[in-house]
Amino acid sequence: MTTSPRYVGIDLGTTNSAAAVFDGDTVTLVRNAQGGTLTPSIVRIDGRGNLLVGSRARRYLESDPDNTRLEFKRLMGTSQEVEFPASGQRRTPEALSAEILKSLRADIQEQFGFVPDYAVISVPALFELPQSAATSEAARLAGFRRVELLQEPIASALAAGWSADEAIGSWLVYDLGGGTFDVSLLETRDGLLRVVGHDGDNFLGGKDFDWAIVEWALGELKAREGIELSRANPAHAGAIRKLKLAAEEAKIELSRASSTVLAVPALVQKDDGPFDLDLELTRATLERLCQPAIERTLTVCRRLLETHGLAPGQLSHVVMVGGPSVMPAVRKLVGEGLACALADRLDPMTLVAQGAAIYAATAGLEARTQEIAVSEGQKVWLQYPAMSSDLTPHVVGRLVETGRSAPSQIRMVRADGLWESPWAPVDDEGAFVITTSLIARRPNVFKIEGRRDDGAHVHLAPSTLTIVQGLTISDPPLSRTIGVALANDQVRVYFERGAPLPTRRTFTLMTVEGVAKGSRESLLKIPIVQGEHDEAHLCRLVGTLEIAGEAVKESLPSGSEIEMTLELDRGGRLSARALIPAIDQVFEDVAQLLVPEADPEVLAASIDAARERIASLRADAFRRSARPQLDRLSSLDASLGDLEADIAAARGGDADAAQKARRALLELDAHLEELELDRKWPEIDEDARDSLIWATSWVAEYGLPHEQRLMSETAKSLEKARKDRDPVELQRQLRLISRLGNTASLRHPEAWTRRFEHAASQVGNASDIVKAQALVKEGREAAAREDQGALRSITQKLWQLLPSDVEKRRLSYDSGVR
Amino acid sequence: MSARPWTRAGRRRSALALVAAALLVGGLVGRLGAGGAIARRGDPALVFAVLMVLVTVGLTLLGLLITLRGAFGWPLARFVLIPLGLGRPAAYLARHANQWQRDPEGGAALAEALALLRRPRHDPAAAERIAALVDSVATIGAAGITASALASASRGDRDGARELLLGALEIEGTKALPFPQRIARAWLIADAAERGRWRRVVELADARGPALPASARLLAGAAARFAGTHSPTDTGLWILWLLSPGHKDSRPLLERAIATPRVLHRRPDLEEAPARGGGVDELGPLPSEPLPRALALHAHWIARDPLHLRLVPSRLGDLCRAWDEVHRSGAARRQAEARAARLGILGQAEAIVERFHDEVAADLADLSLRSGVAIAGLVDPPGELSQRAIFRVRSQLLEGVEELAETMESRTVDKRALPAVEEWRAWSELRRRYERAGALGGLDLRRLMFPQVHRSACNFAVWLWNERKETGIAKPIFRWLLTEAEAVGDEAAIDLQRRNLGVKGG
Amino acid sequence: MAATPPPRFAHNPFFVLGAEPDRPRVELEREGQKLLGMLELGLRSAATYATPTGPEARTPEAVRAALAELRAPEKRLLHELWASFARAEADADASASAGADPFRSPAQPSAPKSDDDEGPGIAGAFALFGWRRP
Repeated sequence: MTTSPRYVGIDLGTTNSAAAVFDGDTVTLVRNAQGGTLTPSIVRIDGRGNLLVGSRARRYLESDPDNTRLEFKRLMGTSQEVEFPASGQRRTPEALSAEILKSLRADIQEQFGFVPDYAVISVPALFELPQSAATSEAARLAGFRRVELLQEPIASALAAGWSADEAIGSWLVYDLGGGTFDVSLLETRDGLLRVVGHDGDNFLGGKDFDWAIVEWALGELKAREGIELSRANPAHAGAIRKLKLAAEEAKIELSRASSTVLAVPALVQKDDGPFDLDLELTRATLERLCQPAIERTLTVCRRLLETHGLAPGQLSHVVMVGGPSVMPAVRKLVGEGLACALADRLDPMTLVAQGAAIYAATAGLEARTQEIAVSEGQKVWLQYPAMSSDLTPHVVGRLVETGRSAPSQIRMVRADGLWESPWAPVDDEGAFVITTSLIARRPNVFKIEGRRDDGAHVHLAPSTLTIVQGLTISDPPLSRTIGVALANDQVRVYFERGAPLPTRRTFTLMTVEGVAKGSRESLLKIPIVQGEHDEAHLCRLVGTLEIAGEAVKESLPSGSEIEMTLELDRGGRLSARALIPAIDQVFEDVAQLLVPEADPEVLAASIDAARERIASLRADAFRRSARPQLDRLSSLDASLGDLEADIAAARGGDADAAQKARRALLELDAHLEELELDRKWPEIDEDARDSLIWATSWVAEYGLPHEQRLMSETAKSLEKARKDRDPVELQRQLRLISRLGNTASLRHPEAWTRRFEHAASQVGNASDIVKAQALVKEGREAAAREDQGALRSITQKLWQLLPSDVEKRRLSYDSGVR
Repeated sequence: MSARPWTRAGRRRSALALVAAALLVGGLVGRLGAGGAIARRGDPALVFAVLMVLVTVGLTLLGLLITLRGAFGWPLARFVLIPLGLGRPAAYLARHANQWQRDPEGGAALAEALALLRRPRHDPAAAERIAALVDSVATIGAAGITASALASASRGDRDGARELLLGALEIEGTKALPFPQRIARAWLIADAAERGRWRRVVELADARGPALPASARLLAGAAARFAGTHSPTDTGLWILWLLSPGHKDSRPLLERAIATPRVLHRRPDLEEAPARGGGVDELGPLPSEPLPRALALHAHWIARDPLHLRLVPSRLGDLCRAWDEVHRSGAARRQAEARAARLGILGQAEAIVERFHDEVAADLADLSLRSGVAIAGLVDPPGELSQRAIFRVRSQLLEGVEELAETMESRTVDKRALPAVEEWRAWSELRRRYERAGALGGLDLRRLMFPQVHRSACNFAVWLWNERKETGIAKPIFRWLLTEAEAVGDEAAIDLQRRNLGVKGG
Repeated sequence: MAATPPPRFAHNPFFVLGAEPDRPRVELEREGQKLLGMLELGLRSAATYATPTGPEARTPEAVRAALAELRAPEKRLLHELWASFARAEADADASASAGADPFRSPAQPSAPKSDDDEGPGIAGAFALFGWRRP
C-alpha cells in the first residue's frame, strides 16, 4: 500500500455523479466499470428486486421508466418515497443516493485498492439543512464513516484555483447543473481563496431547457397533428417522459451540430396505430427556447456582482461548471452578458468532484482510516495543516510521555534535504512549535527528529509528516443564515451566512405563554428557520423543537427562560438543545427536520392569492404612476406562468415540481411584502396628515392649554417621522395625536351624538344585527331627548357589536418564544 | 389527574369521609359495649333507644371535629404543620379553616407554598398541587398570587416571584386578605435586605398594610439604620431582636445595625452618588487622541458585570462625549481610510465607519438601558453618536412596550384566556416595561406610549372583569390606568377609568 | 426587545488570535492554524486570551470564527477599529503597570458589592423567616 495520502471527493449530482482522488500532488478521476468518469445518478430495481446503478440502469430508462428512477436528489430532505412498482419496493431519496455512493466507493476500491471511509461530498450551495442532513444520511447508508459536505461552487473554485497559475482578483464560478444554478463570486489573494458571496436558484437548471424543448414539441404536436398531450395529465406521463429523454439527447446533440431531429417512435397510440414523433430542432430554435432561462441566470449573476459593488467588466474570468454549461448558447450568452472571458481547459463535468477531493486535503480528511503501522519510538501528537496556502506554516506537537528518556529539543528536516528547522525546545507541557518551509504547489515530506539534553538522538513516532502547499480555504462556510423564529415574527439570528462550520451558539429566549404540566393542548414550539429575511415567516422552517405539557417535569410560567443552543457540525447537520433552568430539564429532539410537503391544491390556492395581491398592488401602483413598482409587478406576474406550469406538473405527480413551486412562492411572498410596504407608506402618510388636521382643529378649539402644547410638540415629531419615512414612529405619533383629538372632541356638546351616528351607520357589519338595531333605536330616542349620558352608554354598547380592527396573522410558525 | 384534590368533588368526598368515620366510630362503640348484649336480649325498643344514643354521640363528635377543624385547623397548620414542611395536611386544614372562608383554595395553596419554602429542597409535585389549587379558584385573590409567587421562588425564579408579590399587595376586593399580603411584604423585605436595597426595605415596611412579622420589623429597623433614614434607638433594636424568632441567626444583623450610627433626620438625596470605586479617576492616564481615549473608556465600562453595573450619570456622560468627539473629529474615519487603502477596499471605508459608529451607539444605548441612566440631558447638546444612542434607547423601550401591548390586545380580542396568575404576570410585565421606559424616557415617552397601553390594558381588564369575574386583578389595572392617565393628562382616559372604578365599586 | 449588542472586545478576532491589527493576512492565518493545533493538543498556553475586558477562554470555534471574520477585508477593518484599543493602551503607556496581560485595565475596579450604593446586603434574610433562599 502506498504511504502518500489519499483524499476522496464526490460530486453527488442530480443527473450525473463523479468521484476523484487527490494524493497531494495530482487529482485523479475515478473511472467506473464502463470506463467513464461520470456515473449517471440513476437507480433501477427490477421485478426480482435486482438493483442496477448508473449507466447500466440508464439503459432501461426508456423501456421501463417506472422502475428506473432518476433526479431523486431533488427530493432529498422531503418525506417523499420513490416507488418501484415491479418489485413493490419503496425507497427514500437518501437510500437511492446511497446506492450511487456505494457504486462510486466500489469503483474507488477497484481503481485504487482501498475502500474509502472518509470523504467530502459536494452539495448545491443553496441546499437547506434538511437536504444537507439527508446527504449525510445517504453517505452513512453507503458505509462512509465520516463525510464533510462542501458547497459545489466552493469545490469548483478550489479545483479551478488549484489548476490556475496565480490567478489574482475577483472571478465567478457559474455552475449550471441539471437541476440547480449556483453562482459564486471569489477572490484570490496571497494564495488564499475567499468566497466573497454566492447566489443562485435552487430550482433552475438544464432540466428547464429540456422542459422548454418538451413544451415546444407539445405545441408543435398540437399544431401539426392535433395531438394534445399535457404534463398535468397522469395518463400522459409515459409519453412525456419519452419526449423529455429525446429532448435531452437533442440538446446534447445540438452542442455539436446545428440541427437535429427529435425522434420518438410510438410516442402515442392514435386511432390509426402508433404515432412516431419526428421533429426538426435547430440550434437557433434551441437558443430561443433556452434564452429566458439563461437570462434568469444572468440576472442572478448581476445581482451578486451588484451586491458586492462590482460591475461585470471588472471580473478576471468566469469558470463554467455543469453539463448544461457546455451548450454553445449558454457560453455565448454568459460571455456577452458578463463582458469577460470564460476559463477553458477545465472539465465542467468533473470539476466539482476534483475540488471536493482537494478540499478533503485541506480538511485533513485522509480517506483511509486503517491503522498504518506506527514505527517504534517516542510517541508524539502532531497538529499541522494537511494543506496550506502559507509557505511557512507552523507544526505544533506534544510528546505523549515526558520523562528522562523524552527529547528536550525537536527539529524538522525536509525530505529533499534542502531545508531544516532550528532545534525547538520542548516546554514543560511537552509541547513544541516549529515553523516549516514549503516548496510551492507540492506535497512536502518532513522528517521529525528529537534529541535529549545530553545530545543523544531520540527516535520519534511518527517520524514523518506531509504538508501540501496550495490554494486553501479552511472552513466550509454556512450557505444560509440560521435562526429561531420569535413570536413577534422576528428572527433571532444564531449563525450568519458565511459563518465557518462547525459552530455553536446559545441564546436565552423567553416563553410567551406558560406550559401546563400534563396538558395535551399545552405545547411550546421553537421553530428553527433558515433564510436571509428579517421576518420569520419569509424564511424557511427547517426544524421545530417542541416542549410539550406532557413532557415537562413542572408547569412553566410565561416569561420562563430557555437557554437554546444550536449546533452545526462540519457536515451541516443541525442539532438543537433547550435547557430550561427553572425546572432543570433539557429538550433535544428536533422534530420535522424535513422540507415541508407541497400539496398542489394548497399551492394553487396560494397562487390565486398571490395573483390577487399583484392585481391590487398593480391597480394601486397604476393610480400612483409608480413606474418601478409596476415593472417589478410585471416581472412577478410573468413568473406566475412558470409557477402554474410547475403546479400542473405537480398535479401530474411530479413531486420535484411541487417543491420548486413551494420555494418560488415563498420568494414571491417576500417580494410582494416589500411592495406592500412601499404601497402602505402613502396611505399611512395620508392618514397622518388627515389626522393631524382633524386633531389640530379640535385641540385648538376644545383642548386644555397643556394639551395644546403637547399637540404642537407631537405635530413636530410627526413631521419628522414623515420626513424620515419611518412608519413605526409615525404610527406612534399618530396614536398620540388621535388620542389628543379624541379627548378634545369629546368636549364638544354634541360629541356623543356624532359618535353614535357614526356607529349607527355601520350597523350592517354588527355581529348581532337585531341587537344593534334595537340599540340604534334606543340611541335615537336618547338623542331626541338630548340625554348625552345615555347616548354614550348606548354608543359604547354598539361599538362592542362592531367588528374589531385587530387582525393578527399567525405568521411566525406559531413560535412560543420571544 | 390527581393534582386537583380541592375541587368541589374533592370537597364532597372529604365531607362524606368524615360522616362515614363518625358513623363507624358510633358503630364500633355499639358493637363492643352494651349494644351486643341488648341485641341478644332482643328488646326492640331498647335497641332503638341505644342506637339513637349512639348516632347522637357520633353526630356530636362529628360536629365537634368540624368545629375544631374550622376554629383550630389553621393555627395547627400555621404553627405546627407548615414549619414541619407538611404541605398536604396543612393545605387540607387551611381549606376548611374559618379564617379562609372567603378564599379556601387560595388559603390551601398558600399553606402548601409556605410549607414548600420550609422544605430543604424544591418539590415539583408540591408546586404542581399549588398550581392546580390556584387554577381551580374562580376568582384569584392575594392568597393565590402569593402562593404562586412563593412556588416560583422555591423553583429559583426570584425575579418572577418578586413581580407577582408586588402584585399581591395591590389586589383589591373581598379576596385582598391580610395574611397573604403580610407574607408577601415579609418576603419582599427579605429579598430587598439580601440584595442590600435598604431604602426599599424601609419603603416596604412603611407602606400601609397588615402588621408585619417580628423578623420583618427587625429587618426594617436595621435597614433604616443602613439607609440613613429615621431609625430606632439601640434599645429599640434590641427589643426588636428579642421579639423576633431565631436569635442566633439574626444576631449579626443586630450587631451590624448597632454599629451603624443613627441618623435622626433623613439624609437629603444627593444629585449624584459620589464616585465609589471604578471612577474615571481610577482609570489612570487616558490617551489624548479621541479614538484611543473613547475606546479606553468604553472598555472600562463594558467590562463591568451587567448585574452589578452602577454607572453614574457623569461617567456615562464622559463616555458619550468621548465618542461624540470621535465622530466630530473624524478620527475613526481617518484611521479607517488609511487602513482601507492598504486592504484594497477604499471604496467601502465610509460604510464601515458608519457601521462602527452604529455599533458604538448600540453599546451606549445598551449601557444606558442596563444601568437605568438616561443619556438625554447628560450631554448638552448631544453629539451625533449620543443622539443615535438616545434614539436607539427610545426605540427599544417603545418596542418592548408595544410588543407586549399588542400581544395582550390580540389575546383579548381572540379571548385566549390564561390562568389568572399568568394574566397577572402578563400585566405586571407590561406595566414594568412601561414604568422602566417612563423612568428612562421621561414624561414625553409616557405620553407617547400611553394611548396604546391604555387601550390594550383597559380592554384586557374589562374582559377580566366582565367575562371572567377576576375583579381582584382587574381593579388594580383600572386604578393604575387612572393614576397614569392623570400623570400624562389624558382627560378621556381619566374620565373612563373614573367611571370604571366608580361603576365597578371603586 | 432588541438583543443586547455582542461583546465588542471579548470576541474581537484580533484578541482571539492574540495578534496586532496591522498584521498581514498570511500571518494571521498562520497564527490561527497554530492556535488550532495547540488547542487540539490541549496546551495550557493557548487556553485563554487577553482582552481589554479581561481574559476569555479560547475555543477552536472561536479561532475558526475569528479567522473567517478576518478573511473578509470589510469585516476585518471594522474589527481593527475596535481593536485600536491595543494601540490606545500602548500610547498611554499604561500597559507596563498591568503586568503580563496587556489589556488589563490599569485599575480593574474592585468587585462591586451590589446594584445599589446603600451597602452590602445580608446573606440570611430569608432564613430569619425559616424560608429556603430562592
